[in-house]
Amino acid sequence: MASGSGAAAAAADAEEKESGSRMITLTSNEGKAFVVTEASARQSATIRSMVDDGGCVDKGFPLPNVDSKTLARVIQYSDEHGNKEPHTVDERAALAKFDRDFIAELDADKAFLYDVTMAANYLHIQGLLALTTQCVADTIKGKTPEEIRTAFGIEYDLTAQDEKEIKEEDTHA
Amino acid sequence: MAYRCAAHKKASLSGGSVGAGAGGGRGYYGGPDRISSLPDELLHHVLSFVTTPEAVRTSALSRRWVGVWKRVPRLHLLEEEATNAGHIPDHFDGILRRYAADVDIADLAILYHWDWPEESEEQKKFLHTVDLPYCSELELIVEKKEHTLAPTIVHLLKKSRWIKRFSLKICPKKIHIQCEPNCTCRQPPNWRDQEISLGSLEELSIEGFGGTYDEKQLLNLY
Repeated sequence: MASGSGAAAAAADAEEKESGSRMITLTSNEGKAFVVTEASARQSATIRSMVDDGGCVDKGFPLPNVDSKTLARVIQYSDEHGNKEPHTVDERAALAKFDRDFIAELDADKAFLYDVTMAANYLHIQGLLALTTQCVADTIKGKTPEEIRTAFGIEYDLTAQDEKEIKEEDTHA
Repeated sequence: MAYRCAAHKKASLSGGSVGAGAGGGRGYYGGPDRISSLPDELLHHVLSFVTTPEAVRTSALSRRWVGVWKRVPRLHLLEEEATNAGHIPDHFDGILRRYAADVDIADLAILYHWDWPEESEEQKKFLHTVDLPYCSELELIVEKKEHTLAPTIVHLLKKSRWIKRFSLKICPKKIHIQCEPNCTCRQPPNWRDQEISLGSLEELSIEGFGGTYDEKQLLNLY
């Protein structure tokens, strides 16, 4: 990443900022660097506010909580949503299809889905967070507690006493 | 009678301690399943996409889940979604009582219709004792031709001392008042004698104000 020095460079920098063509480096907790467009990085409210506060754009952003595999997937989403602005009906439909395919793939690997959810939350990418949490919610919808436990692999650890209390609360409710 | 309460509090999802694969953050649970190790704020986010009865049911999943639904910032108590149709007031009341008292609900809706004053004892009890959770904005939609509007609203406002913005929509525009002298609304405790304290109120809007006697009486309360 070029670091600006002098008035001309600053002007060029400002121009680049305007056009959104500046590149930003995101580094995973494994030290792997990912260079993305500013438009893509700005999908994250966390990074957006750091960039707008005149933060360390040149140094890049280390993300100590996100591993490489997760970051790559998050960037796939941010690139699609940040680099293109859908104008036509077709473009919007293509983006919606991207989201559907993206989440269908994640849904097949629940552990990875949670990693992406945590990263979306940490980076404040609202669109991605809504997509992943909605996906988890869809697994809960219309299921009995037993079916939900099976779907998520939740271990049943309620004692008879707990169960009794919950039942009592429910009948009171 | 239907009322809806909405606090348009900006959803703020503070990150920080959340790490992919780390399972850190508040509400950490060391169980074998990954979903239970998600922090509470994310589980709340998830449960805000399912109906309130479904969210309540997750309390039976495991220990981790017992209290999760009680802080989901969306609470919709809707007649048509109620699992216990025979005892809706008790059912709603039970959920409201168990819900965490200190959560500023971003999205609260309670929809329940009944004919006033032909209400059952159970309905009457609900209206008089219901505790509205903490919410900063209340939108009250009066849909039915209530024979008298003010007592209902007074009962609700007594429970809403936190509200900052109150908007009232009255439809149909004219409210018919055919109140018998021995009607419940005239019996003590008379609503006109009740004290309402809305110390936080900043904004009040009333739509469909017809200027009937009851409606004017209502205005005198402010």
